[in-house]
Amino acid sequence: MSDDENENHTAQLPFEVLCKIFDNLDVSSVKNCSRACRRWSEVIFSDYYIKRFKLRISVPQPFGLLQSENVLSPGVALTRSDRFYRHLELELNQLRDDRSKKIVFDIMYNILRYPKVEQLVSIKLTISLPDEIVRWLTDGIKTMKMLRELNIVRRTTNSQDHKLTIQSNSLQQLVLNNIIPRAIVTPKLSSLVVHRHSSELYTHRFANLKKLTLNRSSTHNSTDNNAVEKQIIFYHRLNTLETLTLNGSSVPGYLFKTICEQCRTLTELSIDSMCFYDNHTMEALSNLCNLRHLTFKKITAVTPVSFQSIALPKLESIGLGSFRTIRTDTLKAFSSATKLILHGVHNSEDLIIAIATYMPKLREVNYTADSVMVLSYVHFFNEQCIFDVDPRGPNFIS
Amino acid sequence: MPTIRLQSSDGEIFDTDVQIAKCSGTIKTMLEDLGMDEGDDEVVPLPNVNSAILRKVLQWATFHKDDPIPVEDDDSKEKRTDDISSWDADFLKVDQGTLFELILAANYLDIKGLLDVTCKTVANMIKGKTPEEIRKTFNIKNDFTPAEEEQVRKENEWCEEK
Repeated sequence: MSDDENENHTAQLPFEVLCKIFDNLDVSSVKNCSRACRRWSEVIFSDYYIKRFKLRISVPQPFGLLQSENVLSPGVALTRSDRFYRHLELELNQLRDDRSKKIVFDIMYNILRYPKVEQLVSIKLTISLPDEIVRWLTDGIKTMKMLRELNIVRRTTNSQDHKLTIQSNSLQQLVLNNIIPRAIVTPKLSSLVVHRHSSELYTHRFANLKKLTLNRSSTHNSTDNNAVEKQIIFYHRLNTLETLTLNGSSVPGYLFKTICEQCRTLTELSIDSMCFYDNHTMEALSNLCNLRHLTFKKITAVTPVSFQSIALPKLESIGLGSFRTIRTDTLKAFSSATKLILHGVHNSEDLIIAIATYMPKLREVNYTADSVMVLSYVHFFNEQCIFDVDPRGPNFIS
Repeated sequence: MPTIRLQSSDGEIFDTDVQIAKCSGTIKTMLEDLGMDEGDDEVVPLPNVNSAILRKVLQWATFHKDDPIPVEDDDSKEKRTDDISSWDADFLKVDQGTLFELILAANYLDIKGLLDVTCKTVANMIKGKTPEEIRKTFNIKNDFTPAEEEQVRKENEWCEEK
């Protein structure tokens, strides 16, 4: 077994064996390998292997330091690049000068160039201004045949560009922050998360949507007289929905009833805040007979909150928050739950004892730092029950 | 115990327990597909493996013959490399030429356990090293032009784990 001291034994390894070796490395080691020689670089950034990486560019650089002229700018480097990235994450901050504006336009031009644009699977764009950049991207989406995830965060709330259209036959997950396009045509969309939306959202159709999260709606557009009607029609059409999360603004009783009556495929419902005047509103909950997870963080009602005559046979976990007054004996509606998450700030002694009494199947109790007083009543619960503090805190929004 | 006769590239014959030989996916398929009966005096030629390496491979396979069948693991995750058994670590205290020949043999013979542990050993030789140190370790020639090197370095700054 003679070993030539100067021989490069790695040269004989086939492509798939090199990949196998790199699979055992952390990303920073893989990056160092890619700088060792051309072949390793080619293997690492090959079509097969590049899935492991995402391209993440932030312009201007944090701390606002402008790069000196002789450093390769992102736009130029991308022009020269022969890598076909699948995943992009771009953070384009407020553009103060022409030079950074040019950099941003160069970047967008280069990532939207054929054929690279066709390989993109996920894009996250965080942008302050201008809206042209967003439109470039949304116009390019039509040609991205593999695109599955799109996440657009607009940092500014003013001057929305209403001409945007998101049209994609492949898109499955969409996150929109501060942006509601005029049209969203995405037949395969299964998950939609919207932060700060206006009532325009409710004019869109999502035929295959399984998961919807709405966080904080913008101030109500008083010129839109049909807002309520649009909202009701919107939920009428969501008949494939499985998970619904409503955070921020308070859900009125009529909307709650609509959701319970129309979205009967729901298995998970989480409502941050709800307010109603009609005592019977809550009864609509029984329509959701497939419900496995239910969360009410805050309910405001004129009379004590009651869950009387509600049956949820498949319920596995329940999240409860603050109620000014509640008919504690009606908590037996949730008797099949094995898991409880306490969100409340002021869970009263009565409430906790009632929970322990009417939910005998509980095996797991998560509580936030604010509801830590539950620990004083552990002896009321089943002795097999495990208590654990929820590290996400009371204001966590999933 | 049934045996088969394996022939290395340099002509040496190894009488081998069938169960041990079958840890090689390649030999297993060959025996099944070609209908070679156990006990036949036929010789299975292995033109890509020399006798020194085949001896080591069989030594490894004999020690590991009772190991459970390795499961296909998820390729997308970084794997542990600190779980090499002390026997394997000792077994792989060889010069680089032998180590890489073992990798090639394990790949050709389709012996997952041996390929895994040899690749991990190479990965451990890479970890924590700069590009220059990696080149030195494996005698790799830097064939980038300065402009290409700058390009790769720059692009790597934006490259993150998915």
